[in-house]
Amino acid sequence: MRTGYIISGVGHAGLIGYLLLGPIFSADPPPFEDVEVSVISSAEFDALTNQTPPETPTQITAPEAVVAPPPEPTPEPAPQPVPEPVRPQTPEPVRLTPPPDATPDVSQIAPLPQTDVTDEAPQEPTPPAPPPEPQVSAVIDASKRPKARPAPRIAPQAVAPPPLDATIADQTQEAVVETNDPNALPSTQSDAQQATAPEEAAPEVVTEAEEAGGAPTRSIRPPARPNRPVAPVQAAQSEVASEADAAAQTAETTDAAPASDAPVGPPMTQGERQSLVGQIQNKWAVPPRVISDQVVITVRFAVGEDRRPISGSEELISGSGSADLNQIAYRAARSAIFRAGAQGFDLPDDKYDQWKDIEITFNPSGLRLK
Amino acid sequence: MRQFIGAILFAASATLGCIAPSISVAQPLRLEITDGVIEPLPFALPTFISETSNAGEMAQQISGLVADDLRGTGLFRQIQPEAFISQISAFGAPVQYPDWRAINAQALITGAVSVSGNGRVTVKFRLYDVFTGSELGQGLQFVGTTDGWRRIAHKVADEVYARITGEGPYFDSRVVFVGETGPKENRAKRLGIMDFDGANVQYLTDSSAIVLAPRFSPDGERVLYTSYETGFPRIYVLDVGRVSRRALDVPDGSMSFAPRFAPDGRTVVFSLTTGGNTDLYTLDVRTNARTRLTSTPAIETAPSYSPDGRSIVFESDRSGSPQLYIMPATGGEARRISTGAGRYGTPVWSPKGDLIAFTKQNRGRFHIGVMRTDGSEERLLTASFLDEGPTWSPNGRVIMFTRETQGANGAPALYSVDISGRNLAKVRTQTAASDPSWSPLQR
Repeated sequence: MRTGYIISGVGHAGLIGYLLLGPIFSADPPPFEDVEVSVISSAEFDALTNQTPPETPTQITAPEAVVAPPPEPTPEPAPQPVPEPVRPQTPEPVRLTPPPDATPDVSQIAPLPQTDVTDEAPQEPTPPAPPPEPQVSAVIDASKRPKARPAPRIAPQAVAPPPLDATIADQTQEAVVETNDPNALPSTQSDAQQATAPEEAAPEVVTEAEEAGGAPTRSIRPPARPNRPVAPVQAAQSEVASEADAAAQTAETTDAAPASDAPVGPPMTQGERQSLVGQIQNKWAVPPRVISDQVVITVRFAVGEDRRPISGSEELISGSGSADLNQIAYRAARSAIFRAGAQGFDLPDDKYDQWKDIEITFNPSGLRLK
Repeated sequence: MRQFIGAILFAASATLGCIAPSISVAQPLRLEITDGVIEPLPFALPTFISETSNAGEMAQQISGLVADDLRGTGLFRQIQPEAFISQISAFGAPVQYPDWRAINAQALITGAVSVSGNGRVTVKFRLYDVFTGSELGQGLQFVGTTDGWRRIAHKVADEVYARITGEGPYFDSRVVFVGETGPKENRAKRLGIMDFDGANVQYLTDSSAIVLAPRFSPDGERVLYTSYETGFPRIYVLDVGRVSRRALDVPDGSMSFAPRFAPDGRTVVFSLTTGGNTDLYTLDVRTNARTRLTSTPAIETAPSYSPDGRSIVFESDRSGSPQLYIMPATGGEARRISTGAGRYGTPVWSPKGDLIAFTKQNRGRFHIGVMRTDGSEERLLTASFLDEGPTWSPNGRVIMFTRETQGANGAPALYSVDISGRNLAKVRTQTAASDPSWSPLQR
């Protein structure tokens, strides 16, 4: 009895389960295919079924053979091994005379003497004004400095806050810095001495609740920059100046000198560089011999603030050809530079430091005979 | 010990002091230019000063011819005199460079001409680099006969061309060619010689026999050519100065043609047909010693020596169609260098030795082309109904060739083109002309 219930229950459960889950496992129905159907009449059907099939396949008409045009008479290039000699009917007498020997004598002319009529001398270019250096003030305004808060360190005796540049140490010592005095004995980095002072301390504890304000009154100082080399010009200037001014001047120039002599300011973008290349390239008329011998030269020149190349500043740095060929290539390169810059190069004014000195390699590899 | 340490410290500081300035050298903006323009160089050439009363016309002619030579290269552009700001009043007068810069002249050529009572003409010239405001090379003076004024003008142009381009010149050179007259089916042909620009034509043979393919000797004093005056092609050597000639010693009954001198001027390489087979031979013109270079059943012809005399490029149909081959000058294994479609012929080695000019026939068109000696970098410079027979200018920059026009009235003419394919120009000749051969530069 109970077995019958179980069998019946399992059977029903299986049936219900199949009805619920069966569609999941069934395959997708085949896609529908639309077929256009047209309705024809019985008369049309009869006409179709009574049509006799063609007995022979339709013959495709072959295209007419293309008649090739008669080949162009191609003349035979000379010389022919055995051409038929054709004798002219009326040979004309010719008076044969040897060509005259008209070789001219050649001699050199002495170079022109110097004359007082002079070409307009190129104006001495005015040295470009140095870009404005950011002024660094060594004096910190005491009024803006926040008051020292009471130190949290407890000591038997109150200790004043150490100087900002001082290192915390048990002993107090003053800083010893290198001077630029040429008379001074040569000193080394090891001779320099840093200022030290004991840490700030107070005899009693002052809690935050007793403080006037919660803002931090002191931050960590950035590490000091390494000493810079003194530029020779600046050193020379300091020699000329009076002793009193010399020290101040030296200190100023030392502070103002850049970290290196690399051009300061924003660098030239790739587009700006390509623009300059294009301006000169369009004027570079390359002599044929420079192309055929692939002579590569490097030329350096200076550019004034008016964006024009400075006459007389150009120089040939190197060349891959013979001395004569290098000179010919140099003439063409120099001509290209000065023609391109006759009205001033198209260069960004704010990047003068980047383009005041230019070195160009003229390489005719793109001009090989094609 | 302290002194020792002090010395080391001092040396160290001194070293640092030396290094510091070198570090401080400013770095320039570095650029590289790999492309440029090929444009004519603008030059100004005021009419040469006439220093004697009878030299005015000749000064005009010489100035004009110098300018023509330079312009004809395609590398120079003459600035018209109307644009001049300042004039050259005397040969020794100082040059006002700003005036010439203002009209964008890059080169200035000044000169003077004087004619003496005994028919001698003196021509002086100077060349200036306007941009640098300096003289380019030294001034030169040429003295010759009034009849030879064209040669003097060519020499002036040669000097200017060489100083500015750095290439060897070619204006003071001649061309030997075949002058043709009469109807196409019955042409009279004779050897002629002229200046490279077509002037001063003189004929070296009469037109009683067909003549073909004249070739200059390396010194320019002799000409090899092929004549049919015996009914068969035979090679002759003609002395240009004396207009005397002699036949090359070849076996009786054979046909000899397509001769060319070796760079030594002693040896002639040519084709010889015996028993129906055409091969290449050399002949010592002094000893008449003959050497066979090839022995194949194919037709081998149009040989041309390399400038060093070690190799010969020639045309052979041993592969089934005419192609170009190179072999040692003493004969031996030949390697094919032409690989493109079409038929190749009449190869000529360039004076520089780097290129080979040739005639190519492909798809019904003829071309003059050049390729490297290994067959690479083939470039076709011309295309027409019939272009053939290239010859190199002495400096290896220009190629002259024959172009024949189509039709019943078609006639051959001489053309020139530079090796970049630019500056195609017709050479002015009095009659129809073919088969040019360029001489070396005259001395």
